[in-house]
Amino acid sequence: MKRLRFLAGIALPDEARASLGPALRQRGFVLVVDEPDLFVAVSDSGGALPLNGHGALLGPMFASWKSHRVRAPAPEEVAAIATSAGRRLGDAYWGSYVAILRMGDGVAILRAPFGGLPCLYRRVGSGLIAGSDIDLPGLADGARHGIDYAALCCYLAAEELRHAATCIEGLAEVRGGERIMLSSRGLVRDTFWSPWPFIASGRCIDDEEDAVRRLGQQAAACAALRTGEIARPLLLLSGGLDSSIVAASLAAKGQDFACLNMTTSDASGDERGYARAVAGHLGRELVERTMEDDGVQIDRLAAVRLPRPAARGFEQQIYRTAQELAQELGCDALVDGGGGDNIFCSLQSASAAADCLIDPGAGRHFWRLCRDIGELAQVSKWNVAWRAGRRAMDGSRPYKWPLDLRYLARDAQAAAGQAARHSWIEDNPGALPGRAAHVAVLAAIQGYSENGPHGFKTSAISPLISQPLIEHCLAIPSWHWFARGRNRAAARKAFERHLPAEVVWRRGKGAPDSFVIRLLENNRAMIRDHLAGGLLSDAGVIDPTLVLKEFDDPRPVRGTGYGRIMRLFDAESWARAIRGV
Amino acid sequence: MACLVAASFDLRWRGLAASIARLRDRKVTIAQEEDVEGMSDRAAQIAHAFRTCSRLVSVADRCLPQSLAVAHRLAGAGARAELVLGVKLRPFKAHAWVQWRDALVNERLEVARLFTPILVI
Repeated sequence: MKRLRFLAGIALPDEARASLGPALRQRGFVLVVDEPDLFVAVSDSGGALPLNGHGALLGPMFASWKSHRVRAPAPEEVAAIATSAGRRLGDAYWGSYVAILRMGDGVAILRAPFGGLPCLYRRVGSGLIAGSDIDLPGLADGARHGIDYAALCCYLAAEELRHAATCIEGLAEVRGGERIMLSSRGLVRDTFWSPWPFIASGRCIDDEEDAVRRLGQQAAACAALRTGEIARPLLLLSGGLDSSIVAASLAAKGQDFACLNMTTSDASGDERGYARAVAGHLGRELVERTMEDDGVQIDRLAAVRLPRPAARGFEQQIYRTAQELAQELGCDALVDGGGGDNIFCSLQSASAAADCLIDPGAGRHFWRLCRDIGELAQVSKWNVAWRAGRRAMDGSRPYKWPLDLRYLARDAQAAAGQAARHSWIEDNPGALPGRAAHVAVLAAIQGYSENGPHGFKTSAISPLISQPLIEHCLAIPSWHWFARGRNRAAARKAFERHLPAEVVWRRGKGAPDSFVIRLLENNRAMIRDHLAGGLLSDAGVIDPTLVLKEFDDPRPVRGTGYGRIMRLFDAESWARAIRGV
Repeated sequence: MACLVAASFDLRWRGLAASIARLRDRKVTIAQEEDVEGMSDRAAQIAHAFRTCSRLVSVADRCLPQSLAVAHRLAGAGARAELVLGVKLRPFKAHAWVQWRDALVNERLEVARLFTPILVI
């Protein structure tokens, strides 16, 4: 599967534009728009749709009324997209597109909600240069990457909530659902898609049977479209609910695929029994592998050229093994269940029960939800009811995102003060608290999908993160997401006839924690050295004394501090790669 | 519920060693021969009662007092149930649960299987 790359320039100074020609030719890029104030070049002309003087659409795109990828939009559709200032894209299309559209005397760039094609830009004079990866926008002026340590502090405090600023100086990002417009009035940023309209009471699907049936249909349709050009994907089947739902969705449309289960050498990450049950039920080949350290240079794993230290070392190692196996098995892409928790509302907070107190039609669900949420969180139903009551009294308060300030230096903690801000969370129009919590976890998945293909995840697809499925799930009220002491209930019900009961209604899930700890134990000296005297420590991002206190604790690894230390180590590896040290 | 309060009280004021000793002493008094069939229903009732109880009082991170209470209750009914304390590494965690013959009374298999028993009473 080829990854599309692009570079676009808007109102660039002549010398900057002239200097780009040889660099683009050297990379084999093809010009799809070549006008005096606008050019768009792509690595593969098949990935771009020029719009006859209106600009271009880049990356895979689907229309809500079509069952295949959009290859050539009709002239009236091109006109509708252009005259709606791109809003038509958010309403009627989805995928991983980046749209570059002429508007009035300027040019706008729009990025698909949850789109996997990145769009990074930097200003060059009064113009702008945008590209799909961090090294492309710098081609015009040969700028070297400097790390924005204040942005890095924010990132480490709330890594799942992304902002327009990246962790690289001067490099900004167009976020999913956002539009930037460069015109004579300067650069203006706004949004063309938000989750809130789908939460509005007029869209709420109160008929549970209907909500469940359409969820199953939408998941299968999205999985089929997202894998439509893949002959035989390799599914990373963990044995958990989300990847099992992807398996059932692929099977529903008759897709040929193989499954891979990665297990840890200890019991907590050994989910082979569940994976076997799913693969056996669906009649698909299952290959089992153990997560191995195999002497890999772990400081290289997370050294991926992303605009933020988003790549995780242990995950890269897992996808590396998967990638090698895919080649052995003749599979042409990897598919995973990423995003399922967030999309299927995997919450265990009392806020969903609070919704039942506020919504006039939902009171009858209140005590059932208190029981279900109590069972999940192992607290009494009275405890849930009390918390729900308090939350309901304070219903319009925006969701409060928890910051992770562990091991950050004092000044870095202050710099991270803005980290919890996110327009989706703050734009709360006074909605129900449970629904606001669902939006907040979707904001988290936004960053995950927007990292785009990278490192050993370059050919990986997460079909659950698809706009139509997300929009449908947003219309399902909180009380349909809990049943039988479990969350994600609507999704479980949608697939209970297609998956083994012990998988579809399971409570627990496996975790690769023991593998992460093994990586730490096998590379202790290097990790200690990199964190105690590395770029993050020198720049005052982390407090090395706090890190070493945890690191040098002679007792067996306990709690969650080890995960945080490995996360900081990955950020250090990223920073070293960006600075070329 | 009363059992749960008593077990929590015991642990808090007399300590782990004394709580375990008290359970061990109590088990000595149970007849060697169990009425397996009759006891099976009784054990299921007790397991169900504690499950209902957990909806009324929070049991998160309270596996030990809860398991002590379950074990005492079963002992009171004449069942030679076993209180199991287990640990796991990477990361380190400790847990407690009650087994009666080949059945888990107050824990799911998928959780208990992660722990290595270090003490069975």
